[in-house]
Amino acid sequence: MDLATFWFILIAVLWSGYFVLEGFDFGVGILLPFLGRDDTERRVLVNTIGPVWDGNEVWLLTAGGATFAAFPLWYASMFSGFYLALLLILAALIVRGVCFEFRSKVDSPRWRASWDRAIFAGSALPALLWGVAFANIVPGVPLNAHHVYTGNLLTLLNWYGLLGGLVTLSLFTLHGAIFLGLRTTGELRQRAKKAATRTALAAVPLAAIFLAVTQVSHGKPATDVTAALAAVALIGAAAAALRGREGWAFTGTALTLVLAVATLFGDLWPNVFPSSTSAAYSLTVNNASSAHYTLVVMSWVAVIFTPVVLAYQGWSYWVFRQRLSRSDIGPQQTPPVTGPDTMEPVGGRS
Amino acid sequence: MGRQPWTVFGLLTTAQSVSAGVTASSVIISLTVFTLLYAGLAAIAGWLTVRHVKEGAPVEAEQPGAPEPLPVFQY
Repeated sequence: MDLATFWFILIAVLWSGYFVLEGFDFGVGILLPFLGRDDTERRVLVNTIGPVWDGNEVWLLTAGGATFAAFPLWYASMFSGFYLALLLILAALIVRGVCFEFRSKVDSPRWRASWDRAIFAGSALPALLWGVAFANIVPGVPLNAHHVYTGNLLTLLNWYGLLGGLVTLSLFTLHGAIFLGLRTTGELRQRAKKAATRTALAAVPLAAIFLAVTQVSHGKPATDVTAALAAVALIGAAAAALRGREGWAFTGTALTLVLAVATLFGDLWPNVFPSSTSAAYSLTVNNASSAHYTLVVMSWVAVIFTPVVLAYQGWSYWVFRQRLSRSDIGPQQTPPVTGPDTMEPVGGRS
Repeated sequence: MGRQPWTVFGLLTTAQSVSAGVTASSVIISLTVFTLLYAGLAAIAGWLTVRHVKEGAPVEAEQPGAPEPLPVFQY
């Protein structure tokens, strides 16, 4: 396997990690106004992703950075071509990020309600647009002989692109609902479970239609297998959610997202950014990649640092693995009730 | 400004390094969006900072042995 192929696979891995991790925190943001009946509940919901959402987002930065360094032509064409779409995503991610920080800084229901609406919008918009982006990349976008995008923002909003957007939106919401079933207690947990089964009613048919259409037009034998496995994992996740097997349900939606990304990248191969104008204008793994020496240096950096990053991110999830309940949320700006139990986030609560 | 007209001195001019396919109107839109967004965030952050300073230090923090709030529940 040459290094360009290695980096193509690594970028697919980074997108999988991004969708699996940020997928559930988008879902929590989308469900925030529907599941949280009062402010304490909404704070429980935000705090389930509080320590991890920003780490999850780093997977996107790494995917973008890896594309920039390993496939500069792909990066240039895609980021220039999707300029306004990426601006929308970036603005949504900026707003969403400050919402988490600002919402509890002023003790006023109106102040918090405004930031909560922004958390919803800032989570729903990127969740939709990532699907739109990938559902345009796989069939190809209009690129001229210089690999320059000749469409506009509306070119991306075709029916297949929008279907892809609805798939990521519903899948991330389902993934988030199942995550909340794992991380909350009592009534909130029951509501999260109900939300998961309801969201599954939309996510399962949408994803099945999208995968079928994708495989009919762009499929190959190998990706037919991953697409079928993605569908099986999703149906399994929905069944597990219905039976209250939260751990299995979360494993199922995580696997669905990994297999869906594998399917889309497999369908792309050997292209990275195909042209719908002419196949000759497509960017491929070979004509878009960096020089060999760059890829060698990058590969060493990735081999050394990826395990370190995975280890500390895994550790942060382990530290914050406890379920959260209303009693964990004390009054703002003052220390919580004294006691060894509240001092230790991994302590004996269950 | 002082390095104009070069982006990479002696090798690449600013005119040469402009992205192909990105229109001037797109750049105006993004510049406007980012300027307004960050101006708004700066105003809110400034207001919160002033408010926080005026509130003064919390009394609880002065008690020896009082537990620190857990970072996990800060939101």
